[in-house]
Amino acid sequence: MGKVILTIIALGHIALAQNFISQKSDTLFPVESKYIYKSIDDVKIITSDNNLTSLSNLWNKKPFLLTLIFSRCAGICSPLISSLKFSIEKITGNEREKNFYIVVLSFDTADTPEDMDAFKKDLNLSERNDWIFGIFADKEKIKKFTDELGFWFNWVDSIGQYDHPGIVVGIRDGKIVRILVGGEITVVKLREVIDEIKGNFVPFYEIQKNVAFRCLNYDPETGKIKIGIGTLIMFIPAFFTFFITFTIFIFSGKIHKQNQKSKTKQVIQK
Amino acid sequence: MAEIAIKAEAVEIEAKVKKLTLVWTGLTFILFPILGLLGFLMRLVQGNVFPMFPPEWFYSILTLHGVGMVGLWFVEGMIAVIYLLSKYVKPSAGVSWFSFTFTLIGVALIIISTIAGKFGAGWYFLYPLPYKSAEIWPNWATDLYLIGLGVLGIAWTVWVIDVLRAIAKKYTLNQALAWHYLAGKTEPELPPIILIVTVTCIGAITGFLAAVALLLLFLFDRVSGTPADPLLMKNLVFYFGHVLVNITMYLGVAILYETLPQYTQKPWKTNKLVAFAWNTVLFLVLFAYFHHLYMDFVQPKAFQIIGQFASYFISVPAAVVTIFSALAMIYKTKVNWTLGSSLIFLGTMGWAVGGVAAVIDSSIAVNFRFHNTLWVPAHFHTYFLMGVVLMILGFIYHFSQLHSNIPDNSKLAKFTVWLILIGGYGFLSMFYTGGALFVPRRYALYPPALSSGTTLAQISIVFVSILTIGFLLYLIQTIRRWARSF
Amino acid sequence: MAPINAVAVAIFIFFALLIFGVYAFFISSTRKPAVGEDYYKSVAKLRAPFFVILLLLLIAGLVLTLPKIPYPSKGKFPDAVVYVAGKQFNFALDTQPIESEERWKERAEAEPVQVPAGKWIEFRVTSLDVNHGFSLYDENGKLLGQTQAMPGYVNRLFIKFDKPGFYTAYCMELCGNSHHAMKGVIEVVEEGTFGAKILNQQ
Repeated sequence: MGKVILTIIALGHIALAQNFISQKSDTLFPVESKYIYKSIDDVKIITSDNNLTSLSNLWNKKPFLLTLIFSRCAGICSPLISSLKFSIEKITGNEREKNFYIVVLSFDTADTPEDMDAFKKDLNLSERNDWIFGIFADKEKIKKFTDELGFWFNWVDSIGQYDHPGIVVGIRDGKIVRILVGGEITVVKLREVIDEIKGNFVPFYEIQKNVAFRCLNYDPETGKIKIGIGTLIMFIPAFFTFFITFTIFIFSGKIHKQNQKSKTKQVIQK
Repeated sequence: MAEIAIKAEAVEIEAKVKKLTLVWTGLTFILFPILGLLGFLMRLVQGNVFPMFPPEWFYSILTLHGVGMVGLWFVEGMIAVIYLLSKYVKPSAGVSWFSFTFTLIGVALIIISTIAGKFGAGWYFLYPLPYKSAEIWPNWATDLYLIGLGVLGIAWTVWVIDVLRAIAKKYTLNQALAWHYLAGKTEPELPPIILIVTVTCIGAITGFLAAVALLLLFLFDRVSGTPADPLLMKNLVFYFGHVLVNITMYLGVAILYETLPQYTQKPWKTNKLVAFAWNTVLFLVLFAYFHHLYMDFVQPKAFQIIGQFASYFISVPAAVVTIFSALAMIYKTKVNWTLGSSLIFLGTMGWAVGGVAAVIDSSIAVNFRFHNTLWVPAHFHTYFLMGVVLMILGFIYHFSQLHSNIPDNSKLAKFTVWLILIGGYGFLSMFYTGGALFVPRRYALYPPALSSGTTLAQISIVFVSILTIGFLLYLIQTIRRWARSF
Repeated sequence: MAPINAVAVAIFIFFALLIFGVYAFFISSTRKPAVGEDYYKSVAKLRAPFFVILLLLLIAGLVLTLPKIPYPSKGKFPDAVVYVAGKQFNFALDTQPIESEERWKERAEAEPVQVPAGKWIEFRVTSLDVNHGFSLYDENGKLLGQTQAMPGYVNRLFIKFDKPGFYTAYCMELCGNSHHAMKGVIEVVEEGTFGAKILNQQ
């Protein structure tokens, strides 16, 4: 018995040692599968135009993409938001009224709504209502909230900056649908997230572009599937068959009757 | 004067059709053993009898066996039906010869493609595999295969259109589809074979048109370089394949309706029920193919559920009308059991058993674990090998015996039938067991975790050997009579 | 064997034997034909009951199996997501989407992905070249479920692994000459262990 337990412990150690390699990248970026479909904390936030609201208030209206930054950031925050803005425009065009929000929250307790407003202005987003910049109303809740997303931040005295990863989290009905990591948000990845947060189940994604005669087209903006020309092709054989069958029977029958008539005429003449 | 002329014409037509049937049957005598032995070879390879057998050969043999068998029984079924139909209507012998020539060309192209070119994407050449073979077969092999199919498609489309034309000469469309029976009339009387063949030919046209669309899309991809939608291609190929296999089955049934009464001395007439059954089949056969795409979750859910409904209810007309009537026809009746009539009748049994397996597998929830396991070849071999093939082989014997006047050797016939039944169902039971154990189909070799597949293949070698002896005896008895019929 | 498939096999064996029996009975009845009498009509009387029974059986089959369709429905939340990309002749699995051939190669050769037992795992399955069939087998060769891996589309398969261990995905759609050798591996670990590892990593 003792031996068995020892073996199990030994095996456990080996398993843990193996995990050590992946541990590094995990601490840098959250592993999506650990957080996916978990609920997030419904915190109160103060937006850049000084409104007090809660995240549930937002997700009850529309799903949103959430990202965490701090306004004094000299690192990835600004390029992250820029690339997010670029990709969103690429995917949804320049429409003002999107059916999702983009929520940018500051994890820095020193940030004020005014700081966030200035940050929003710097990015040429001050006119955009779908972009919500804000801070946490209750500073005590920041740590718990960010932990639940797999997000971390450390103050580094030497540079006077926070060290933190770049993440974009898709939230639907208060649940984490997707987590994108890294300083740059690519169009391909973001398209999937936007598909996901719309709430409708997405049965498939188009990975390949430029395909001839698609059966179905998935529209990431409306979340609807449209019947493509390919589906019509599926009905062509049946349609043509009706056509051919009727043609055969109508013509063949007519010719036959004519022949019969001429034959009977011949017989009568004889 | 006119009557004598008509009679002379009838004799002339009979001679023409007989010659046609003899020649086509000769082709069957060549292709059936070859394709059958290829099937045997595949079971040997799967049983690891030849460990050094190159897998790419296995997959080209698989392709040739699949496409060859389906094509062979379709053409032989067609010629059998044309022979039987010529009593009522006059399909053109010229068109049949045209079709024969083009069939030979198509078959030659496919043989070159699979044997010389190693084309091994399966009969169903699922897009985009044919041109993405990981450099196992060259693109010209795919080109030849697709051209071969195209040639067959053209020849067979012309052929079925000509049969429809011949029917249309005598009957209007609503008569040929027995709609007047549905309205309660019985005049003019319609032989059931006309109804079945009309349904079959209409179905065949839709199937062939789907193949045309498919081949054009392949061509479009090849010429323009723009990829086609794999989902669309999958829909089209299974629509074509499923319809072709189904109508081949119906050709066998047409043989049954026309020949069984000759052995029981009871008529098999069209009535309201028969009319209703076959019209239902014509409708449902267009939707049943969706069950091939159950595991494509992107396919709209509605299509999947329509597929299950269609696959379930298409069994009703077959069971309640055809199989039930065939059984009722022989009950306590003096039946002239020859090798021919036994095989034709027992074909309905394979249809019934295979039908049960098919309906079970067409339940989406069951298919979730049976899809592309050995359960699939199990069920379609049941209603092909033990169904329509027996019916058509039965017809060939029936035809040869009729024209050679060599009496039936009933003891030998009985022995042959038993060998075929034991060998056939034994062979199938190994496939079914494989399906129940989730062994995948279309595997040249089984990985260690699925080694039961190897064991089952080894056991099935015994049964396939018995089956081979059975078919050999059949061929000896039939070819002797066939040779005397010229 | 999954219960539904065991039932399916049992039903098949029952009906196959029944059909053999019926055929044997009818064929043997021709040995002693009743001369002059027509039994066709007396048998034909059974047609209506046969029709009704068959119809009821089929409807029962539909009612019992349709609620069990494996397609994920709206709002169904898995506990974890695994991305799968098939390519001649390997399945690559990862917790992040696999979009490029380089990523596929890296993941196809990497250590297996770990998922917790007893939880709903969603597999997002696609292919980078031709059609493949993604079929998950346990160590005893039991098939848990499958979906097609089709180029240009992502199919979503929901699977719950009851026991920890290594599960193998075999290819179920002919994809070329090494089709039978194509596979991908996933490791299922106890939920407790899985949680512990997460804590350890944090």
